[in-house]
Amino acid sequence: MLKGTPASSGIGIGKAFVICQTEPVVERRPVACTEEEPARFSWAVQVFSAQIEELAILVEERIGKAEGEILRAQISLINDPELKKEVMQKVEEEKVNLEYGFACVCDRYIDLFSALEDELMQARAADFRDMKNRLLCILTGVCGTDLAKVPPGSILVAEDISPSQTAFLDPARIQGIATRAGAKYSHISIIARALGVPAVVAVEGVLERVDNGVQMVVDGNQGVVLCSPASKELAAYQAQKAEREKEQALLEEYRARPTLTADNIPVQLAANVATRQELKAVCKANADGIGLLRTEFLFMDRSVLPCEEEQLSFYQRVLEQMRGRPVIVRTLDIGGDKAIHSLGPEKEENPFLGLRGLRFSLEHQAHFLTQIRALLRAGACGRLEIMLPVVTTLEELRSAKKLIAQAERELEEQGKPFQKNVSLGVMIETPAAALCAAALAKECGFFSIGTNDLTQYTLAVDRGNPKVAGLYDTGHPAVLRLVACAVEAAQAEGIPVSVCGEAAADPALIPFFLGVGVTELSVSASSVLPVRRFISGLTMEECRQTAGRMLQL
Amino acid sequence: MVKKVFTINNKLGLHVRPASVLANGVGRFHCDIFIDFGGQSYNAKSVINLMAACIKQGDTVEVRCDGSDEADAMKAIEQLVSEGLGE
Repeated sequence: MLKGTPASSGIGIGKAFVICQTEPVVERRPVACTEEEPARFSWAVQVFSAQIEELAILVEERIGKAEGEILRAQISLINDPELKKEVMQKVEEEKVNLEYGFACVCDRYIDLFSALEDELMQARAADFRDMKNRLLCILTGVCGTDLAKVPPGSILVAEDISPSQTAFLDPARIQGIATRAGAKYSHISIIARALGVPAVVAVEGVLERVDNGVQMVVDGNQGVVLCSPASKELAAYQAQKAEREKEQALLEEYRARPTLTADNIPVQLAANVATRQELKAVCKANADGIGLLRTEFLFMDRSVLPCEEEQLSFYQRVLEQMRGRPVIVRTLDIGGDKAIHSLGPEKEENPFLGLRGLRFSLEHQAHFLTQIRALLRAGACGRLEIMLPVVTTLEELRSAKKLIAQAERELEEQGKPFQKNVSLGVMIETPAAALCAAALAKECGFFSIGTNDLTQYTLAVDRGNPKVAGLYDTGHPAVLRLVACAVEAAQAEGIPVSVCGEAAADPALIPFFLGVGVTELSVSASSVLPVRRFISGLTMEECRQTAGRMLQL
Repeated sequence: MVKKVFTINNKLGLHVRPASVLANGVGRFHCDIFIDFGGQSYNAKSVINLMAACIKQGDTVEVRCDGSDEADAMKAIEQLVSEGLGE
């Protein structure tokens, strides 16, 4: 048994398909006459550019626009005038074959970029390696491992899977992925999750231990890889996989249905979105809108913050894809454990009690105004609502409203169309907000209860700390009483209240939330169908009784 | 030949994006364009060269344009740098 990092959930069973990343062997051959080499290089560059363009289009369709762009960067690298000059210099001075000259120049850049401390630059080394192998394959006529030819029922085993190879990952034929390199957020992991293929990465020794064609199990839930498992083990995994597939089939019938309790009370069931890749899954699961659209990913991993137009086009695309269903966008929630490179790494002694959420936005008003203007403009073409994170006082809500009014005035002056009287909600994720909910409810349009933060702030527990994680419990009566307090305040003012933390998908807590009067649950896309099915077995009367019982100390 | 000293103000220095903006922005000129930095010369028309120079935020570089359209090229570079190289 080999252990690794679980990167994409599910059980995959199949035959190993080992991708040898042995780089094409390059021979150094003396060439008497190098006249033909420049033309050969130009030809190879043309073929290369056409191949990458084709791949990039495929990647854009199957995976996403940003991933396609990453691939396209290789076209500008291969067409670089300096690269060509250096290759030709090497070829002419040493009178060697083009393949050898090109490989030497690439290797120099690979070494140069891998040695830099900058992570962005290290990623360029991977681009160069990918580019070198592809061009050499073109020149030598040897095809690299073509993932389009992977037989059905395969488990891919590799050192890593390059960005250009991911275009060929076909979930219909690939049962699982196990790589020696990689991390939870590396390229292949993100793609595997987007495609729903079970994957385990960072598996030490996987290449040495696995031979082509052997039976394998990839357990993406536990981060375990088995090769040639004993028949008993294999049977257990097959049963687990069959169980999951049966569950999946049962859930299918809930896809097209509305969310109703057993006594036919409708419940709003929305989805949370944290990355671009999740959008498709949300539409597919037929959720009643997006209950929490996180916007941090727009700002992270980049050197320049997204401008108003870039944000606008993203929000518009989300609204278009949701086709009239409401989308609740949470304004930038950084600080805490989420730092943004381009806003400067201000280290705080205690970041979870520091400048995070709305506090950060009120401190950096220009960024907040940019986001608000983009949101208001996007709102002109769909149902958009805005939600403020980490609110603790009424003054913060009022300050945010003043800034929103300012953004409206600016747009008015510029004559740009925007949504007037946008619905503005407050996230209830601190005990302060829950206890002062009556005052907040009078001045906002809705509440959304963020159970993750509410639990950690109420119980003073960091669930990432293994020594105290056992104390983290959203079902603690103290947390539930704060939830009830916020719901009561919302009901008194007649505003809707949703729950958008992970607890919203927890069968142990759903009856409580519904019973206490929560009107909407927002869960991850993969939880939409299971939650819809679970709710269909509950009656409101049961839920109310459960809620009453759970509030007792 | 025309020469001018610039300070690079991009937050992460001359990394991929600003380097591409610069290289693509000057590719159309016929003159040679070099950036002198840290005792070496780099071809400003080459993204790879510019990236390999590892120019960081706050570094000063000297740009040399040499050829028939050198004055226009320098003007274009001034414009690109003043616009933050696309950032």
